[in-house]
Amino acid sequence: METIIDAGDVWKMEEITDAADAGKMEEKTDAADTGKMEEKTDAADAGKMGEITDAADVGKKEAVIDARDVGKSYRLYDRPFDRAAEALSFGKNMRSTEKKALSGITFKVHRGETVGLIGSNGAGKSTLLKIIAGVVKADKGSIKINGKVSALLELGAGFDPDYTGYENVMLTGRIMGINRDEMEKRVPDIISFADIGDYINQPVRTYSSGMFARLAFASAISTDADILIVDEALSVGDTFFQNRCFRKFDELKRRGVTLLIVSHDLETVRRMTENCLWIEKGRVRMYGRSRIVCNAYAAEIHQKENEDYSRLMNNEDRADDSGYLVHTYSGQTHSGQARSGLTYSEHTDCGGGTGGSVEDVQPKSSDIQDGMEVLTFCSDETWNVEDYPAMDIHEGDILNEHVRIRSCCFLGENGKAAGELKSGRRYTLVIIFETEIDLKECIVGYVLQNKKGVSIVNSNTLTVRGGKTFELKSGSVCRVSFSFLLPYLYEDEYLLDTAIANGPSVMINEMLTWRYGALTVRIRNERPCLAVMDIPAEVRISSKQL
Amino acid sequence: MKESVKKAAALAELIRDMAALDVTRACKDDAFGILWLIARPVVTVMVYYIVFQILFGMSVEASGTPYAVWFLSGMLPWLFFAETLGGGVLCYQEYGHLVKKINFPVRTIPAIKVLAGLYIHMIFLAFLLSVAVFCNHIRKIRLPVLLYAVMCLAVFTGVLVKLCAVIRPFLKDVSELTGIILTAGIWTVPVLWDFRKVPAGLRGIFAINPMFHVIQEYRRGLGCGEGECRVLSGIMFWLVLSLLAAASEVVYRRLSPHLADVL
Repeated sequence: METIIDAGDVWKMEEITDAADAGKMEEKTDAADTGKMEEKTDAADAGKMGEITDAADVGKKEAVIDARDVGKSYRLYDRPFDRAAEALSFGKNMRSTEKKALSGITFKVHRGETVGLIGSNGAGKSTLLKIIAGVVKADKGSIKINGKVSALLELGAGFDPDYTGYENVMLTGRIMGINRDEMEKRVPDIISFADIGDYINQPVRTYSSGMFARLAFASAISTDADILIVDEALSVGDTFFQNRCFRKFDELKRRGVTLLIVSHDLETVRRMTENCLWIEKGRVRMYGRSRIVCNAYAAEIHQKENEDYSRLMNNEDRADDSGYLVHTYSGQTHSGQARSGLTYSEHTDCGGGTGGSVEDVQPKSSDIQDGMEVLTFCSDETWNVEDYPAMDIHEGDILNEHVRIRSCCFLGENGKAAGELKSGRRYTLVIIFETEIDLKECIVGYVLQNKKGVSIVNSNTLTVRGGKTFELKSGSVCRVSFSFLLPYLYEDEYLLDTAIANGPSVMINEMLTWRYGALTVRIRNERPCLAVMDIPAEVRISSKQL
Repeated sequence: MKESVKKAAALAELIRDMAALDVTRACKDDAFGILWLIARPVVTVMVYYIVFQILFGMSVEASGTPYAVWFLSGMLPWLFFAETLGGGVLCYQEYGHLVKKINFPVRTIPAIKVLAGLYIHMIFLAFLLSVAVFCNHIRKIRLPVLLYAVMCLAVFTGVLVKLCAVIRPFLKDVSELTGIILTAGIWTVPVLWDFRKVPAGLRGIFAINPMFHVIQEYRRGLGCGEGECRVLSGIMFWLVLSLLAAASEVVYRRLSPHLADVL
């Protein structure tokens, strides 16, 4: 029991850090428009940790970006001439239709902060960046930029395709206000960082996209900028270059450079940034601690997928795993023998299985072959939710109020909670959740990912049990456990997401809850594992005399 | 205050260097590079020279001015005007990356083009002066007048480029319009013909054209005539120039915020 409590403490610690940082956020978003999510997060996190919030604010430096009620609308014209005619005319003109790109954007970024910018396509991210970079003027509100901005907008860096890399680097530096002698001193470093060698004397239009991006990035970071804007610029580089960029970001951060990163890769944002601004339809949807914002954003993506799902379900036909349309199952058939699952009831806690449950108590340890089989616990053992570390859930993690994850932890072979896992040993991942609604086709799954956001394992009850879902009645609590031999994984910290869905297949289901980073676990290796994973192998060595 | 002067000086230096780069841009990948830049106007000048001097047997009456010097003194400013306006109209397209990707003082882009044109113009003026030396005409050259003429030409061209270039991204037709003006325009100024042959009653009409003043000042500075209708053409030049400057500024202020959207 002791270890379980330990694990619980880890949880709380994490919450405290989050809340402390979220405090900063509250101050920034107070005037921002009132997204539903935002309010809740602020109230929840700031309320809990009032004093720590103040403490975290002390020592914060001045705001380098101070946007107040910034708005920008684009006007759409049938012909470019109409645009000119309207701009030149004195009275009001109705030659255009207005399209709001941004409105009511209010936020602050402090010196040395790293801020991510996320949002779906067309949300207004690029427009906001252009306003910060000074390329586009906002037509409402005010934006104060305190410092020199260096921007990589849409992969470009103000490079002239006809000029050589050298000429472009020199010009960019001088446009940024660095004199020629100083730039000449910096060029060798830029060339070596961009790793383009003799190509520096070729016109940049002959560069590959990777070379172009590398040089643009190298040039942008060597202009003594106070604010660096990186718009998707890293996505074209290879992994080596990306890693080098990330290291460079750390160095820049230490120098007090403020970074603004746009990426569609949520993992990059989560990893690279402290705070995150989520823009949707030209408005601030949420601004705060990156992990919270990214989770809420991802949750909304899932919600959209859910809507697609329900649309599909409303039609008589729907797509199956393979993408073909198959006939919809009607609700009643689920209880039939073929699709029988485990049914828990509140009173019995477990073991209340219907006829089908027996066949589900599948492989015993001896049957386990590759160390990856899954046991579905439905035996006679008794369990209490209270025995497991409780889980706090952010607003952003909940898609459906009626299904709540109560606990999620790894148990070692001794049955105690483990915060550190050793490769090659047997562990049981326990996920406990409760539902207030009937779940006809329940699927419980998890994703184990490394710090780079690469999914190592993505598994769920449906796939490992050969396409079977299970049924849960409303008002029940369910414990699902996956028991497996942990493969030899690269020694590092890993994140575990857990999710509960309802639906007939992996492709078609309604995501009920998706808890990002439910667990952080450290995996240790007794023998070195140099790649993402190592596999247990039978090795035979034979030799003969020549 | 000191800081802003420093900044302005750095910007001026940057514009200067960007203009120098711009000169070579067009013929960067050619084996003979900058030679082509000079070859084109030289051939133009030679064709006109052969046609008018040798075939038509034209000469400048009663002044004893060598025809080559007389011809070049009108032709060089016109060439500068034509090349700079023709190319400068497209300057925002050409430097679109500076408008769209970084916070660059967009206003200075036409200046880059005009300055680049001036660099080539200087090479030609040097050539003209050496011709003058060869023809024993150098004593007649009045440098202050020539400098005034160059200044007038550069400012007038600059204002026109500023106006046309900022409209061009919205209205492609501007290119066609400037093309026609440049093709026909050469005959409205006394570049290829001698102004003294125009009847006195009609001279005033020609003097209204601002380029007339520029050409006549070049002629005067290079010792090819005293410049007829000086007062009228001078007043007209500065009047038209200030009107154009005001108009281009108004148009620029209204259109330039949209540049990043249309390029």
